[in-house]
Amino acid sequence: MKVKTPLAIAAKKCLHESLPPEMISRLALEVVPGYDLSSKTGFPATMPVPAQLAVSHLVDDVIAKGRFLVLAERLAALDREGFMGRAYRITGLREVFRGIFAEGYLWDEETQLFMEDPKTRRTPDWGRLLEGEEHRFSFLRIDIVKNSRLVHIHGETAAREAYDDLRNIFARVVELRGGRVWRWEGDGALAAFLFGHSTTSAVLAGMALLHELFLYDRLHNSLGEPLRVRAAVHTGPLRYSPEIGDVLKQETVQEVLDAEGHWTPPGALTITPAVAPTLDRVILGRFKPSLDPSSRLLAYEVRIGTP
Amino acid sequence: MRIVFFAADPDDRRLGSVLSRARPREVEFEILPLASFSRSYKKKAPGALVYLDASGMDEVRLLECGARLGELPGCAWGAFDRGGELPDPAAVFRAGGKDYLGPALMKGGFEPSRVAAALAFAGLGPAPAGAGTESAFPGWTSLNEGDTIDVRFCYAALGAQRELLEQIGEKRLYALRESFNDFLSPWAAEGGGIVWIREAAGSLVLFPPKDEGMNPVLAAFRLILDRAIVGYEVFNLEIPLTFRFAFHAGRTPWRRIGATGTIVAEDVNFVFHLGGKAAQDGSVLVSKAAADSVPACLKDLFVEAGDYEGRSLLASRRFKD
Repeated sequence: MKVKTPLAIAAKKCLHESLPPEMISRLALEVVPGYDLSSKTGFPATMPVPAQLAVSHLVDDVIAKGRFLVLAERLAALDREGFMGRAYRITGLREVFRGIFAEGYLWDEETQLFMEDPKTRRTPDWGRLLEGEEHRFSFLRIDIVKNSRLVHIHGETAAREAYDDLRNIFARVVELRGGRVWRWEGDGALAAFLFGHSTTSAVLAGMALLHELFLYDRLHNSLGEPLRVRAAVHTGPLRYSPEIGDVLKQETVQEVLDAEGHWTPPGALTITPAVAPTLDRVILGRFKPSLDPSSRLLAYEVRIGTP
Repeated sequence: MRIVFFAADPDDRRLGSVLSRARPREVEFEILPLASFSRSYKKKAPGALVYLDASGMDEVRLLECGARLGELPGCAWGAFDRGGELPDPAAVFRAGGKDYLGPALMKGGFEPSRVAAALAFAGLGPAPAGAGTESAFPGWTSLNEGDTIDVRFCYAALGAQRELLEQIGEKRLYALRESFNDFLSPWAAEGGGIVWIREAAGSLVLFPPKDEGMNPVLAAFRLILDRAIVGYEVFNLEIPLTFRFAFHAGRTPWRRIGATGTIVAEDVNFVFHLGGKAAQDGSVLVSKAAADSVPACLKDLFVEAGDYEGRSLLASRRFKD
């Protein structure tokens, strides 16, 4: 996030007027692990750093490291919950929030984090991830069934129109649940979910996609045959990188690709053993064991029964 | 004939895709940035049906812009609200707007026939083919007490209410029924409908005799398809939820909402019996009188379901859990 000078000044004023020097040092360590205020300011470790100097260095360094939102979120938590049983009233916090809102962010009550305002922009890193940071992501991977055959039979133009529709549907179900489409290839896609209940969001997005395609085939599909996908959800740690090539090499993504490619039947959404325990029973109950006894995945499909 | 969209993101591929699919040959579509509204509406809006993007402004601002459009010659306006962000979609119509494109419609159902119907209703195009010589439905606010009207009835209810009572208790079930009724209002508004009679067991929704916006049977079918997601995301339920719907077409004397206690109408009685006694959880039941409302693309999913009170029925096949 770009932090303009008035916002940086507001944050420095807010810190200076609200927290004692020892709390500023503690906060610095929380926001930037390993941060050494003394060495940054040139003061001996035994000597307290003047508060005004400390906050000035801290805020500038936090901005340089791209962790300004983390600092603001930590201040909000201090204001809300205090620390070690002691209440801290953070004066000027509203001004800091206003400055962040002006940069196109919203305060998400559920996660107590700042999020990109989706009306303004949707970036792959949610406007806040840093390269190399490790987080626990959930991934929804989809692949179009018999893509080459569809192109061969219906022609590239007709197939391309159908794929464009699928792409729009996929983006809608993913972004509605706070996810981001990280990769769209000719015949498949990968979406990432990070905040809130990320596995549930990924799974619900996958279910919604199958529902939408069920109706799409009846309402808009001009191919004359169903547009089917294989979909899979997996969760695990991943070091964030804006380079999709770096992302695809990592184990968690490899596992979701494997789940989709090797263990998911056409028209189904599967979840891996890492996902299942994180789901509420009411959602997990929709998934059934695979017919393949060697598979450890659970699968969901839209199935029509009797009247 | 022209339709102008003032969109928060004029480069939105999804909006472009929806519009290109819905465009009748004779209608010209134009997508303009909402940010340019103030400087371009006087030039672009006269003679057009103009849609304002509810995702790019709050309700007050949207109605203000609508009022400015309403003053232009030959201009009609409406809202498109893909995210369902307008708290009270009916406010658009009260403020003189002519159309509302909500989330369900933008997902599917915004088709050439729908565009033609919107232009006709806005007075900017001919009556859609098939409308015959009958006048278009005048709108709920134009009806007088005691008028006899042709409508489509939709009985909508939560399914498995006895099991719900056992699992969540009376207090939460009461709150859930209230939430469901609140949910039904914007849901019905997308098809030009209103929640007319609220009862504990189920509510009676009225829709115009012809589709105005989403097809209500398709919307009901979609809700049943999405039941697991809706139960979890909309109603925050930790147990499975399902719905039941019954459709019928007929006549009733009009009474305003809240003054329906003394209505005597055979078709109203019938649809309450149909919904309360014959409808099944997870299914859409349709009387023969309303069979035309089943969209062609879903007809193979509806099967004959015998007679009820002397009227033959169709029922949708249920989804397996």
